[in-house]
Amino acid sequence: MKGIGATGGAGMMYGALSAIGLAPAGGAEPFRPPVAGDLIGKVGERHSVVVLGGGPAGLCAAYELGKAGYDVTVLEARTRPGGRVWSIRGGTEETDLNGETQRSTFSDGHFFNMGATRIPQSHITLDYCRELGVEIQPFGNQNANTVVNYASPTALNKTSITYRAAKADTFGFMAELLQKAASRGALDDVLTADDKGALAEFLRTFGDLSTDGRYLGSERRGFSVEPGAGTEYGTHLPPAAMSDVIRSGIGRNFSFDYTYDQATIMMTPVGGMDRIYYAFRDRIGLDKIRFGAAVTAMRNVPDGVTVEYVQDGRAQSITADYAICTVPPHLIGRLANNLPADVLAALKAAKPVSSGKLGIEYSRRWWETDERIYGGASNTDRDIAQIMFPYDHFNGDRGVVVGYYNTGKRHQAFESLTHRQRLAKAVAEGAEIHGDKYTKDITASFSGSWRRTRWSESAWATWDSKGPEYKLLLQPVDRIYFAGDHLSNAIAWQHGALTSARAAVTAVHARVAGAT
Amino acid sequence: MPHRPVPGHRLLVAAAGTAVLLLATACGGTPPAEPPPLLARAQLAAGQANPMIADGVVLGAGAAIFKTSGTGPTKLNSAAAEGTPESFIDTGQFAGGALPAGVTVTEAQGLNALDKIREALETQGLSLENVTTMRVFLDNAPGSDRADYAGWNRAYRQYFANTNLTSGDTELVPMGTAAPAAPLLRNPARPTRFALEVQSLPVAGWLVEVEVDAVYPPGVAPH
Repeated sequence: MKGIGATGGAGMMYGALSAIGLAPAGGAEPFRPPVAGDLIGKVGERHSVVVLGGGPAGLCAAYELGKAGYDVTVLEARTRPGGRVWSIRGGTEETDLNGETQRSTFSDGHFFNMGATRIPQSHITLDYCRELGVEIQPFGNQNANTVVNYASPTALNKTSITYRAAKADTFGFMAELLQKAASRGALDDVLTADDKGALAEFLRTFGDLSTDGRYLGSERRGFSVEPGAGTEYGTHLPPAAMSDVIRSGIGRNFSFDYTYDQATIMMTPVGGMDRIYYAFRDRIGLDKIRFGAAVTAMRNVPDGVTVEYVQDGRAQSITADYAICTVPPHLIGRLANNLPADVLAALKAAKPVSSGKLGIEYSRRWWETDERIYGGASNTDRDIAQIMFPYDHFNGDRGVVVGYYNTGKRHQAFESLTHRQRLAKAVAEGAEIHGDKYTKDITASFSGSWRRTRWSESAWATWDSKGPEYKLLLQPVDRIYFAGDHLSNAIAWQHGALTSARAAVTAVHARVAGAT
Repeated sequence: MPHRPVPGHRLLVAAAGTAVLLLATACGGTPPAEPPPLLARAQLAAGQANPMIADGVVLGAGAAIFKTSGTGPTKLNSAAAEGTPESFIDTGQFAGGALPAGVTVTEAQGLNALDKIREALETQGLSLENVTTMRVFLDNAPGSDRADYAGWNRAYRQYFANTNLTSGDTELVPMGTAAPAAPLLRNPARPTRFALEVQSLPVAGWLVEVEVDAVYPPGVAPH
């Protein structure tokens, strides 16, 4: 990944910048932040940009343009930065589109991230953490001690099995079967004798097989009595039956952290993901960000873009040379606008997605004391989909568990409910996985559904990034540029929003600095 | 960042009891000194926690009203033959156009049409909560001699009239013969409504056509 540190020491060469100017995001060229020197001798003394939205894309764009001294104004409808990056703490208050107001009573220092919560090592989000001085820590995205528990009718259903046991049995039996097939000659058309020898050697350690190639259980599964001092040798947990392991699908979620974006180790800011956007806010300067500014109109006008908004109940308007619009695509058509019909149609191609979370504060860290779980998530086929354990306050006296993080239909099973209904359903399902203690010692809770959250109305967009609608929106409409994770190939990731913002900044700057 | 400072849809979670505000009037903050002018108020049968429709609706003199055209389902299921009722199943809702147990084609078309109306209202800054009156035209499905009112009503409850006026909870609604579950959209609105069977609808394969009136809430102006 080419980071922002790859700028190099050479002065900005305008030819080079122009060459990459209007290229779509994700080109091979490293991003080069604009600098003031690029604008010397250019037409006009001030170059103004109005940015719609104070989430990752909007704040990143404003920050980068600020490096070259652009006159930037960010309009943000919310009273906080970050958009869909939102950390819920004690005192957080929100009225959702279902008409319900929640006010969080989480204890001091405790929180959960309603939106983005983890950062892959390859994402430029980490480069901004470095540049902005946001302290980061590991995020446990995978834990051998969390459990899988599936309700679908199988031999091993409704049973909590640690990932370590599920992996030992699944990999053990898979290795045994493959070893059987190879040793019986079933693979002789594709394997040489040497291949088979090397494969057998791999399978023996991969599956922890016996010398005769069978899986007979493994201490990888864990112990019912932990090994200890003296003659405490530990008590093994016996394996499940091969057929039960296969038919029960207890390995159905193993590939989660094999995916490129979810592979360990993941990182996260200390104290909440929104720390990044408070840091952006502070660097940009409060004088350049108008919070509580609800945009009502956005129109190209001769030589600029006029944006109307309401702030403190007053209708106001701003005209800038350019606009970068990071409003979620399916909401842009609701603004009074003079966008062409094909652009309005393209914006509708980005379909909204249901997703959300519910945080539960417990006054006892039972997952650590009773189940030796320090971070990570349990997985289920119930509507809650997963239970995520806190990555902070280890061994403390309390903590916030994420009782569900789900998408699509499984999230819709909660989305239209009131908070108390959501909590009751989440706790009932969670108790089927972690037992009756899941229902006890609950001191606070808070939930959100992005489809029903004002100013977002979607967790992220789903559409075809090779389709004509997507490609159309990569181009500006006169002086309006679009940006956001929906215009990247890392949708739903901050990296997508940040790279898209950089692409918009590069395009605007090339246009301004290239003008004579 | 959609465009309007819409005053909170502060509706039935707080307004337990029998008096039902169909449209938000409070601004969510400090209460206004003068009661705001009446825009719309549904008249609901007394003593019912979960009425389906209003007996009537009172519209204030200053209410701005948005009236949709007759709206049927969008053709979204390319796997089904052109002009068949099944071609109007929303494959985003029902993967592959396969209907789960007990879900009727009328029900599926109803969901599709109501979703389209939701979209039409949203472009005006309105929502299904703002609907005061609804007119529903149903054709009987091929092979049946009567319109599928039950299927239509299940679709309707996914998008309307699914809050409990006493507890404030969301009423669970069945999809087909499945166990009742969270509806697709929480909506306290109980519009006045008629639903009747017609001989035919103008688009081949349509079993459902809906038209609604919606009242602009405070802070949302027609554009």
